[in-house]
Amino acid sequence: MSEKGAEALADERIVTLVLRGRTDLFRELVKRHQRRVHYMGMRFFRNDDDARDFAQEVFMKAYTALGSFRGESRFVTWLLRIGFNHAANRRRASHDTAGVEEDYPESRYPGPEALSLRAETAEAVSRALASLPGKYRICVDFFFFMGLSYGEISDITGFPVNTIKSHVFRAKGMLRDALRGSAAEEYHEM
Amino acid sequence: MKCDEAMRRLLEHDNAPGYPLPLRLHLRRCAHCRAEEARLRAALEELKAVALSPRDMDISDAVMAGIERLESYRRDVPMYNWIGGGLAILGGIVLISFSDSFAWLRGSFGGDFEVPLSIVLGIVITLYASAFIATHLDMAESWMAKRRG
Ligand SMILES: [Zn+2]
Repeated sequence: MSEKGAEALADERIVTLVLRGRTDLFRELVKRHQRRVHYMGMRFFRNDDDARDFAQEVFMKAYTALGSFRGESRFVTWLLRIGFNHAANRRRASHDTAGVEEDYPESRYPGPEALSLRAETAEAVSRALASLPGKYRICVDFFFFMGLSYGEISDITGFPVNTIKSHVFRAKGMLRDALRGSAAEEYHEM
Repeated sequence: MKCDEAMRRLLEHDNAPGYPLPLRLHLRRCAHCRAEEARLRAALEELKAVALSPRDMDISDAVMAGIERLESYRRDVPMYNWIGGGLAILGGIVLISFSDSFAWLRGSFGGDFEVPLSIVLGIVITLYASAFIATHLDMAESWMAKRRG
């Protein structure tokens, strides 16, 4: 099978083939998930160069550890967990602080404002994220922007599902209120 | 179901398609909640659809080059060289007792040469084993993973 043919295969199947010696197929996994890993890097390191380095390191780590992928979670969850731990270690090493739990970056990259979102959505998301304790911000971020489930976010970050749920609940509530407000304004303007 | 309860369930809903039946029934009956649901769903879809990172970013070449370096590093010392090297060390240890090195050592250092000799040989074997293990960690890992699974 060619690298092209790999496009139709599930991640987990590709992992099996890579472990059997089809190293070249790992490229397909990189292509599928690089933007998510890069995005995670942007969240932690706030600049594109570091995020790219980070993403490369995460994929290299994943390749080396591929034999330990148990198939108990989706491949992408497993990959993002490696990324999350790596980011925490890197930040810990460079800041000499307790790491990601305390100082998840304030930055709002990619800046919902810059993302061609409708103004009220962007505004509400920014406010919702800013109102959360630092270490939970990334949970809401994963839920909103990456479309991950509560269980997956818990798998990746190690936070309890209920904690994640309650923070997402609050953030969604803020989003809903903002949308409700703007809908009312439109109604009055009519 | 009341509107409050419907809203609570809506905000609780996981990132998965399909609402629970009671919520679906309420949404069918209640235009107010239906409008809220549509706005919220559209906003969440919008968030998921925005470009997370540049669409044209591609690090796959760099990653594959890194992997190639890993692999060729390992290929530099093929398995039969490792085995050959190990056998050579063992053979040397066995053969040393048949050579006249012992007599020479005894002549130079007296009868106590065996202790330092054992230490030297021990260090050589340890270095060899650690080098082998260090370069084959991932192999050991996948082997153990296969045994566990
Ligand atoms: Zn209602």
